[in-house]
Amino acid sequence: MDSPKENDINYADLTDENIINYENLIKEDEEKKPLVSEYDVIENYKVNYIDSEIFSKKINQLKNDCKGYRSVRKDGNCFYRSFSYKYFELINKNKNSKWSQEMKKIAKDSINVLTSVNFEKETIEDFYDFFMDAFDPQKFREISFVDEYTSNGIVFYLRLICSAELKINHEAYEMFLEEPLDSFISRQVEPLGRDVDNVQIMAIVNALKVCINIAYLDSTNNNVNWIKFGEEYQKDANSPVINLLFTPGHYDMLYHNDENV
Amino acid sequence: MSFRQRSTTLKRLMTEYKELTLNAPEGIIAGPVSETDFFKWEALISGPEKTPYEGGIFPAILTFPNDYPLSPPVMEFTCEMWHPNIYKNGKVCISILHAPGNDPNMYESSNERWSPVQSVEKILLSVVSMLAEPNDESPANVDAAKMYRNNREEFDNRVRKTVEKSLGF
Repeated sequence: MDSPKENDINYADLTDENIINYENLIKEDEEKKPLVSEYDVIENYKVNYIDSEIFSKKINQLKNDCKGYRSVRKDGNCFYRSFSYKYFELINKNKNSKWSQEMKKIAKDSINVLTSVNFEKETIEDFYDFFMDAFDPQKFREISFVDEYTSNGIVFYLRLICSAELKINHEAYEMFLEEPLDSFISRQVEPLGRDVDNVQIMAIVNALKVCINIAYLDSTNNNVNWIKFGEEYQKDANSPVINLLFTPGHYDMLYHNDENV
Repeated sequence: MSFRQRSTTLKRLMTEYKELTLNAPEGIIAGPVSETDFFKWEALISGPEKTPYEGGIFPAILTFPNDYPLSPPVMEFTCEMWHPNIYKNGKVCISILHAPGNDPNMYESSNERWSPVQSVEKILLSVVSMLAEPNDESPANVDAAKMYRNNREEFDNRVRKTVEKSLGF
């Protein structure tokens, strides 16, 4: 069968079913990729939807600060997956540092925070175990982001951490929402595959007391824009920061020039 | 499927089964088809009162994926059903049963969708609500949806026939 030529496609005839089938094809393609890619130098970063001239200009700008990246699968969990990989990687790189110990203590206590907002322990404890296991460098390397069920379980647990923080300190977040908090949480936070807004990022930063620095790379002519979340948690110049890269609709990880890889 | 995944999934299904047996919501019975396969459940749903489904006992099969509860089960009625949100082959189409990231119909974006904090019980309760209040904006059975919208009397009669059938008359 011949494939249709570009101008043969009548967009008015596209049915919901056609669109869903097409989306499923893209999804299947994406599912063949690893959850988290190998480290690569920033020059090799590829992106869709951005004009190549503007894009290469911005990659050059990024080079001033960053030397490399890792990509994660585009499945609507990209922020949670990028964040958690980088978080555990930084912690495991220097396991005994004061910062790593603090991070582990907060994570360890998270199950109590979650049960305090009525998540049932029985429902969440296996996912809590998946999350805590990633503090072990060997399990982090071999299971946490390799086995799909475990990795999605970690993403889910991080979503619950976010959900609990939104509930506990709701007055800090409600003003950013266009719908009641409960419905926002059950529609946008807890289900897997739902992307983040800044509200979820703020909640995760506050719940885990980490600093996230995001480079926004878009198709405008402006310079690459960095936005820091949770600067107050970066206690001194040596406190690790989680560097992420945002391109339209997707988050990946960035490696700063002074980071050990 | 890793041992760990199987153990998490099985533990969760057993907990839910126990919970449903101890505190079954009215009009709902559900449990594994056999003791050797916890991934396939049978459910019996009574038609809600004051609806054309009243009096009916509708059997359905729930099939759980290997990555439950990260992904939702599939629910299919095994009897004849006439309802805008149930496919002609019996498969139930409501937002709470949609797999992660799968949003085939934007009408449903306002509804609760599957997440691992949901449960079989919540699914079955949603199905009971769905029987009482069909959503004809995102139909799985277009003919049933049209009939529901344009000729309620004919729709109700057709449903009552499935009720009789479900009882074996």
